[in-house]
Amino acid sequence: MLDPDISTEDALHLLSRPDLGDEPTGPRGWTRRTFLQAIGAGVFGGAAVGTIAGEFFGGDIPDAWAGTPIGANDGIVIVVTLYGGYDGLNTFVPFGDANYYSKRANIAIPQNQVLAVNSSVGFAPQLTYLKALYDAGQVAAIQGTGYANPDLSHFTSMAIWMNGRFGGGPASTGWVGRWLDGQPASSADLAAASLDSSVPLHMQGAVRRAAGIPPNGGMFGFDNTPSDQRMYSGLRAMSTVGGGRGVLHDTFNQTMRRQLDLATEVSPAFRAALPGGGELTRELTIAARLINANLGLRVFDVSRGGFDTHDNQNNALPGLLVDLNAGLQAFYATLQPQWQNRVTLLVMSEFGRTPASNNSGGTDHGTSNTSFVIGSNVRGGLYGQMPSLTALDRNGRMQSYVDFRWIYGTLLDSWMGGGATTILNGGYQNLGLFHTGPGAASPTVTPVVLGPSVASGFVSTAPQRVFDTRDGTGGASGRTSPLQAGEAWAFPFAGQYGIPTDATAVALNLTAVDATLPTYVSVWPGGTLKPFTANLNPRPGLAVPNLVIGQLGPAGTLSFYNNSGSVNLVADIVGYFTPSSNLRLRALTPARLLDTRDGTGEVLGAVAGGSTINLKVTDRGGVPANAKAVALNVTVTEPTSGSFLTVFPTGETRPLASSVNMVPGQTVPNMVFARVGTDGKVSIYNNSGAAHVVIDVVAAFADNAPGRLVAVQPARVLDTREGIGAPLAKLAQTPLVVKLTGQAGIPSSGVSAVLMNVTAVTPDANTFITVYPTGGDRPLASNLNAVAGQVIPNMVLARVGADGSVAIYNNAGSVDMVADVMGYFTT
Amino acid sequence: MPVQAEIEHLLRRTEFAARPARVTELMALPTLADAVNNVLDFTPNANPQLRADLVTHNNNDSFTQRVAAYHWWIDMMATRPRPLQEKMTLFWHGHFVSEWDVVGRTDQMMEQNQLFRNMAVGDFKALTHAMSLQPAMLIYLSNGVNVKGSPNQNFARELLELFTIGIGNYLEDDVAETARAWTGHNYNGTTRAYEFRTNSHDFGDKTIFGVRRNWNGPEVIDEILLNNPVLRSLAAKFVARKMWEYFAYLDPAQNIVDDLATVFVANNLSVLELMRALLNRPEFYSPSATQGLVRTPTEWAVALMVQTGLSATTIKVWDYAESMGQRIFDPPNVAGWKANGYWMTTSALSGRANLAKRVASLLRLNGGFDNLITMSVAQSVDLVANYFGVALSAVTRQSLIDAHQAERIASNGTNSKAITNLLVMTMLTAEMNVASTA
Repeated sequence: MLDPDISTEDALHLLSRPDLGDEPTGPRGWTRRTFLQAIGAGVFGGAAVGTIAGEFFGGDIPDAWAGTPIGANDGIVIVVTLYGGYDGLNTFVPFGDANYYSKRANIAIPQNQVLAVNSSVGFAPQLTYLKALYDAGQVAAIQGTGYANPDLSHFTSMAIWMNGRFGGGPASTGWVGRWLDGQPASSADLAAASLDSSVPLHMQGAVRRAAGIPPNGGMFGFDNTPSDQRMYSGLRAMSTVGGGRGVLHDTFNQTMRRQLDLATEVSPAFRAALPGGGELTRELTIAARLINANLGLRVFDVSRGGFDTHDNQNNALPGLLVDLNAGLQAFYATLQPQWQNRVTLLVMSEFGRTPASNNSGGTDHGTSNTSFVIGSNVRGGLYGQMPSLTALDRNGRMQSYVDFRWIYGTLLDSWMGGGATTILNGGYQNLGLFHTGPGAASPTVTPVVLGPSVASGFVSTAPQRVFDTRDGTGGASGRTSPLQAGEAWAFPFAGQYGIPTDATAVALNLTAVDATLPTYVSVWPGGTLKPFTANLNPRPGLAVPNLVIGQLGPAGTLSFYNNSGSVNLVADIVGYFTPSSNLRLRALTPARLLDTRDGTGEVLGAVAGGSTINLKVTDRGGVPANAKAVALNVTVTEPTSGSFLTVFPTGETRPLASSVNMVPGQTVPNMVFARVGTDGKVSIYNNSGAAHVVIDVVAAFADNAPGRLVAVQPARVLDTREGIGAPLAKLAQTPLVVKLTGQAGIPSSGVSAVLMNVTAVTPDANTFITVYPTGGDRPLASNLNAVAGQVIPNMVLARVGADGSVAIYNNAGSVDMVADVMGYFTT
Repeated sequence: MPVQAEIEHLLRRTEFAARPARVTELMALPTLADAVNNVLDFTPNANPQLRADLVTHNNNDSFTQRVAAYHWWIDMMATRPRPLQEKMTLFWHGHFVSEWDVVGRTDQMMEQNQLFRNMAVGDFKALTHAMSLQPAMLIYLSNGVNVKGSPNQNFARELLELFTIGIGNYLEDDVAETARAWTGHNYNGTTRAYEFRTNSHDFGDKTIFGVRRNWNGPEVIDEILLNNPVLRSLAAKFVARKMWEYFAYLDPAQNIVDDLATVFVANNLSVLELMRALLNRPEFYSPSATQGLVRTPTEWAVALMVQTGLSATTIKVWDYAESMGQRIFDPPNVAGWKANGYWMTTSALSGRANLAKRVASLLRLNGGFDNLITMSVAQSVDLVANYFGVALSAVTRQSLIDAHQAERIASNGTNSKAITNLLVMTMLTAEMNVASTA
């Protein structure tokens, strides 16, 4: 029984069974007769149609649905209805309870995948944005939500939830509908909408009900020629006259009229393309647009079925949660800022599921569940109480601690203007879910998370210094002070330094200097939520460079964060990505182009300080003749003094920029994106001392090569210290296989190579790390050269094997490995 | 000689539309009861079989099969000599629900569809037994994976709540124990067939309806529909009420339900005899009935197909089904579809209106209905109403005349849109959608 989409009269109609003469006690402890009387005013399933429908569609509803703009302190509620009973235990996971793992071993989410909010509970791994909202203090997770004497029927239980009256019936109306009944006539006409072909019970009042808006667009009435207009007028006139053919006839006519009114009102929300993905993503996007349009709509119902996961739950639930997560993200990305502090979302379902799984890899109908209330004025945190997974009721179901009507009451009185006691038919416990009322200053900022960028080609530039926090380089946006501990700083790129405004990402060589403590530096799209990733691991006394491919935020900026001590940052731009560039990536099997130790590349002997060598890169190692730029892994070994290398196009003036920074005696690699100069060559300059240089080419950029970059929000896909992406164990000499596709914004197919920052954390021996595609032999190349006890990162352009995975090999000792993805190249 | 209005109502409710030839045919019979017998006699349908390309599942083209199956069934409704067989097939589809979205197999969904067709007015107990072991149901309500030690309650619950006796007439423990009784009645994913697995069946004692013994699943059906007179009466009333609400109007008086249930039980749960009694009730011909049901989106579309002769694939009904609120083979949930107000939402009427525009554009191809312009406005309106089989009320007729007149003037000689608009508006009259008569 999947995809229950209980709507309008479902529950009621089902419950309107014949009175069978006897009086068995129903599951709620009501007698059948009492219950039938209670729902006797059923809209279409109950008493005679003639009287009830007339009452339902009372004659006081004006013909025109004129929207009334929403007042500055009017709250808006989005009810997100998940039909079928979502499994709260695999949505908000009590990983700290050992019973969770013993009772549902076949479907439990491993602790290392849970997005923990504390030491015992956290979100399912798909709910990254909901977790971000939680971290921003905007999510109330209400555990143990339910009601006394719970019913296990979808229909009965959903009717109870949607009705929302203390003491039960009449279940002909729902809690939002009764709120709607109480709104002034002028504002009630278009105050609520269901994004569905039907209007669910909770959106129906005694005299008013929500409008139904088809979520797929194409509404009749959007066409607008003069002839269409005349037909609409004709239909209005036709549907205004009575026919003497009964109440269904009249109701049909009134609905036709409303349909035309509604189409006029909502058509602007459908003009722009709607996002793909699931129903919740689409419907929440429409809801945000309709709020932006300020039509007077204050309550929306969006919904999705399929949560009735009796079997193979782990095949079904994750995809549904992805849609929920993407929907919330799309909602806040679409909602205009002035509405942020006026919207609250409620995520609800008819019940939770059994704590124990069944042998089909699923769970059966349960009782108590975790509900979520979300919004910028919500006082985020944990509410209610996590029920025991072992102290169950006689049917094997969990206990409830928060009556769902308390949530409604809190929303009604604290957000929707009051009236809860009347609407709910009784007193309730206000849960104190809000910091402040609608329209009042929001104490928190709703995080923005970008989706993947538009697929883009590369534009290679000569290295150019764009900022240096030591000396103020960077123009008006520059600075002359180091980043302090915990400081985030944004710098604008788009529209400057020759970078167009449609650039999706920039390629920087970023160097950290003057670190006062061991720290890490994170780079992410400006104006979005800081991810838990790192690009540099500076330590005192060492200048540390690394290539950064950073997706630009909505304002064309990148944000930089320093975790501890203070540190100066120096950025040299080497290129950018834009959809209009045709220069694309061809991933190569790494090939050695230069090794000054053995003469590969026709240079033998260490590169002396102050000298420049030229290296032919095209037509070698798979680099095509028309390559305009190459991705090189440049390794410096046996340097005699502290120095730096600059890699630049042959034939051009050497810029002030560093590609690799070196420490005497230490082997240091760095990924370099280098523009190809005259004769297909790049030049390599060493500033001082002498150093051997080893260069492997890993990719080339050429016109009409296949791979375009899709930059993504940085995300950690591997951390052996935390058990993310791999078991909690240091890596010895057995290669570790890490799946990269199908997560962190990387699709399951169409990926040629993944851009990721790979960090070796405190190896117990000097070693090197090689990242290579699964299914092939390990190449004789290194991506990182790690020094015992240090934290060394490098950008890796990793080709993936046929299964979407890479293998990571550690040459000596044991080491913890961390990997953060920044984007991928298409096939 | 029967009353013509009654014959037309009988045909609209049992055959989707009152085709003039059928009206003439039934009016020639001596009595209304003879007309009822005629609509119940499926002999002219000659045991319809599934279309050959829908019998097996094509993994590479299953979506095409799904759309083809949808259109094939809608066409069957519009074209069979005795459409009641298809209307009853649709009833059972809404009663013993499976969703194509969940089952995902052409062969099994269509086998179930044919089962409902073959047993459309047969023995309710035999149908209940057959559907319970049919693979689409085994998959949909999870009994295919219901095994000893970890019973899955999905099927057991709906067998009691939705298929036979209804909520309030069993205890939660009955559900749990019935689920145990159905363990081992599984689905073999290799053979894609029902299979009883001894090892997965719980042979222990279970207490169901107060009786403790070693119940086996199908015995629960026999207990309800054969052996236990109290339960059988409950089930007979449950089904009789649902049938009445499908054909006549909602919330019938209890005596109607009781009378029909008595007939149903007395005839060993023969659906044919239940139908015959239902269609012979005087209440079936009362204003409550003639004005008591909104045409479902499917019934409305089929009526348009009957009246226009257009096929489902020509109209592309599938493209409109979801927006109208009903896509057969994909009920919204295990409880099937509801009635009346369920269909009258702004969004669902938008779907109907868009389909009406599609039908109008098809009818206007190659100069269709151009000749209306040679007629008076009133003649045009009456001709179109008659074409769609609509009995217009006087006020609706006048509204159509006013609108058509206005459009003829506004379009100033280029009357193309005036005719198209008249066709669309007629399809969107309440009379067409409620199928009401005075």
